[in-house]
Amino acid sequence: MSALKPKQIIPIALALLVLGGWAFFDSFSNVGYGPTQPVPFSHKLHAGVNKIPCLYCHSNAERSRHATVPGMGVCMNCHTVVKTDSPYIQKVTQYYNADKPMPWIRVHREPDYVYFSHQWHIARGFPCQKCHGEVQNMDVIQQSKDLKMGFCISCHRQNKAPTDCNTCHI
Amino acid sequence: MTEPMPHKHWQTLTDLRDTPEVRALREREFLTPSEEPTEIPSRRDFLKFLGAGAAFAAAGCARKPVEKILPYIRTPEESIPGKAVWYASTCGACPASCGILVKTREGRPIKLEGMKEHPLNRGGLCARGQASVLNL
Repeated sequence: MSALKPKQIIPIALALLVLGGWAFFDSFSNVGYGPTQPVPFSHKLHAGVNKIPCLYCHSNAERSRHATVPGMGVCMNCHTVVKTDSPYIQKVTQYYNADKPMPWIRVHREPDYVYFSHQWHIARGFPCQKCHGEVQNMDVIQQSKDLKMGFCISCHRQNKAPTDCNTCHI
Repeated sequence: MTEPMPHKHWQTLTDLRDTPEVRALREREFLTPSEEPTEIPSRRDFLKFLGAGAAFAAAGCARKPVEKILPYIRTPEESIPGKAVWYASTCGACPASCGILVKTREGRPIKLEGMKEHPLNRGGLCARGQASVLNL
């Protein structure tokens, strides 16, 4: 192959830079991330089949910025009685009795420079599914929206919510 | 040219003995020879490094690190993660003992404020009082 002249290299290098940059930023997307949890908790069974409201377990979502995973006492509210023969429930009980927290793996995570409050969005009456997808049909919880700035802004525009920088970046 | 100043202090015993090897070493500023390239890399090398850098950056940032999320075992009633709990207390930074409000997050004090209702400081808190959050 004959050597490329500098003038021929420039457009190729630019194209590579643009493509690389796009791939780089796209790799930040978390869509479809659904790691194996320490216990195969099924949102489909709890929220879908048994129709437990989201806020029964994630009750802090209407009181705080964070929706939070429920304390293990919330699991034990039902599971001291329900399905105690399952090895997974027994594992949860073991952790609970040993005063050890269940090491869930976090799926939804906004960067530290984003201020997001669950409380305000719940108070406005948005369904959880708007950002978290059809959780009631998920056996394994996974992220279904990219939850990047464009996602937030487009919804804020549609609903006439403030789009000032310091609404979210404070 | 005057004679070089005789040594007044030594770093090691070998230094004190002043053998020719030590003198030779002392002549050099750095013990290991500098490995900095003295030539500008060729275009080919530059593009190689550029490509390798981009590839490693893309591979290294392929996924965010795995993060744990640990629940409470028995949730304390007054604590909501993400919400501050305020306690009324007395400042201990000096004997004046001003009334203060302590802002806590998840059981840890993060900020002190003066208490408005307190007759002594009436909402103020001095620099020592503000800083005493670090002593708690």
